[in-house]
Amino acid sequence: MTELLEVEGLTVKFESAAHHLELVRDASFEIGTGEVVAMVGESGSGKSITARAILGLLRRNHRMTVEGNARLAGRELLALAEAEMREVRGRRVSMIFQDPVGALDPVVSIGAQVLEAVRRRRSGTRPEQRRRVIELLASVGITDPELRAKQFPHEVSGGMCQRALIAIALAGSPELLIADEPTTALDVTVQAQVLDLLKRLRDERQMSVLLITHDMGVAAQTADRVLIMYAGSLVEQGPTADIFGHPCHPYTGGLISAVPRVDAPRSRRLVAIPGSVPEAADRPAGCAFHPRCPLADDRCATAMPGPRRLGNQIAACHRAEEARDSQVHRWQAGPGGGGAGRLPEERAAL
Amino acid sequence: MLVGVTALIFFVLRALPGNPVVLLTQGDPGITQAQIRHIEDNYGLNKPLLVQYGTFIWHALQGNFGVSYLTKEPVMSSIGAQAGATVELTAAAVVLTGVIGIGGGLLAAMFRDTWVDSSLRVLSLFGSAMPLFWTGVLLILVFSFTWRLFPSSGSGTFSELVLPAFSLALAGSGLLVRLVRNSMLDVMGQEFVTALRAKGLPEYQVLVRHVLRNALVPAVTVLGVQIGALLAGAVVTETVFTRQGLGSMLVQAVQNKDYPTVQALVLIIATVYVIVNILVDISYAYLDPRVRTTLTK
Ligand SMILES: Nc1ncnc2c1ncn2[C@@H]1O[C@H](COP(=O)(O)OP(=O)(O)O)[C@@H](O)[C@H]1O
Ligand SMILES: [Mg+2]
Repeated sequence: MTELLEVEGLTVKFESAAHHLELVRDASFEIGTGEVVAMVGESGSGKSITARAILGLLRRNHRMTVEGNARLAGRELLALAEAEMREVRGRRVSMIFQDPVGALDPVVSIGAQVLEAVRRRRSGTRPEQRRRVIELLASVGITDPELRAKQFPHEVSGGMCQRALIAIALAGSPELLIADEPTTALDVTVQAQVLDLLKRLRDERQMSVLLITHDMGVAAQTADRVLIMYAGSLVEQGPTADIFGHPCHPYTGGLISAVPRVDAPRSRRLVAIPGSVPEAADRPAGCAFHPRCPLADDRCATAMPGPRRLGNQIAACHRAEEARDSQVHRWQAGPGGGGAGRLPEERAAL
Repeated sequence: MLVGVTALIFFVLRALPGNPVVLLTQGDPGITQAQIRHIEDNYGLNKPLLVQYGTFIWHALQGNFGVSYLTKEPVMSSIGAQAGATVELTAAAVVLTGVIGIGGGLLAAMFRDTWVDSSLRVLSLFGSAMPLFWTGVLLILVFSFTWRLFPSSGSGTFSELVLPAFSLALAGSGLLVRLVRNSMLDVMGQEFVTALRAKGLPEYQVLVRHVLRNALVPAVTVLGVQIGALLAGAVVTETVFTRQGLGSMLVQAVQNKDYPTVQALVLIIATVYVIVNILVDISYAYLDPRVRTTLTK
């Protein structure tokens, strides 16, 4: 598989009078052509900041600086002038958002917002462009697109808005779609429909997808590869089956045990990792995860682990081998956790 | 509300010291008590106040505001003659207020936290803090006495309209500049603006087509209130620039206790104010489809 996006050493700094923070720290990953890559981490990990940095959407914020490289088909994005970056946005890389209703202009009709994206290609007559709007709306599974085009965001459901946003994102036939928690605000049935739609689009258009989520279940259902982000750093990455089969970072294990499970006994259906992600200003020394980590030792509290390769995976953990071998997430899930470990592999095989 | 306004002005006028008969007789000292009573009879001034008020309302509903004590002409025809100049002035001022307020707000938001933003902040503070007559006098000093660009008084030609319209607009647009700026910055913090940029729209399209349009919803309310202030301001401005118009007419009528003229003018101004506010509510529905939805439900 050829790599479409190569991110290397991506660092996002935030400067204010009180703080000098690294919201994202030295993140490196690739996305292949036609590949769905999930980026998973609890809220506040730095996922959205990473996505926005790639699209140059942090440039207006004078307090943020973005360092490192992000190459799209070999072309460096982060060094592009704003006008060139604008040509990339919506045409080569598109983005959809967590709150679909809030990501649409409330006072402009849905059709007009799709039309605006269609017009950016500067081709076709007005009637042709209008027809294209209806086609796009229909292609993302919106029934009665003529009517929907005339409606406003507040008049339709969240799922419908997310479909409209996907239509907008597709208008420029991008090679990469960044989906930032696209289903978090939607209810479960709609969530499954939207994920199916994304997978279908990937198959039909050979489009790559960076799917950001805080839900390992979503990653298991959808992704070819998984990136795990914690406190601004990528702590683990690898093929979905490997990540779920033998996670090499205790945080990954914790995320897997936190997936709600229908088959598990009620008592251990959902095991959240104790504690929460530290704000960028309050990150502890050493490994940022060590205060919450069941395997942490003295070294973890002082030295920050660098990424290491273990088989198909890359993990940033001093005790990655122990984590992999002890399968810490199984005992985190409670006694007799052997069964709990099986399901993710089944999911990954789906 | 209109009824309240008429009642208020009717009774306040009559509570003020002074006697309209003096005006009617041009202060003739040789007038007899019997003559005064005769005049009062003719104008209904000796009837109980409530009866007078009832008669006024009854006639007003038929479009009859009586005869001016001062000119002895029907009030409505003098108003008709003077209205043109005032309509011209306020219309020009409304347009200027809108252009300065929205344009200034847009610029301040686009260049926020730069010198553009701070100078607009200072200017709008001056504009809204200075009393209207003072702004007028200042404009006259600078633009007609020092630079001799525009005449300081008169009404009729376009160049005579420039300074009074500007002095009115400057007072009203200061607040609007701040409001448009702040509500644009509010809107710019919303997710859909990031989404529009992610779509690859050029920044000016994001700002003008989307952000400004959203920011206008709260701005229009203020513009509506400002139009009320503008009507009041027209009175001052017409006096400062010695223009013809309903404002000057009102000042004169009040000074002379010309009850019918004052009552008619106040009623007209109040009616215009109500109509403007209805128009503002309608424009809400035009600007914000969410309002439209709740209205049709
Ligand atoms: N505009 C901003 N200015 C300063 N800090 C920010 C900004 N946006 C997000 N952050 C901080 O960056 C960190 C990562 O945020 P984010 O990328 O939104 O997390 P996620 O998407 O993983 O939930 C958080 O600690 C958040 O407080
Ligand atoms: Mg986020």
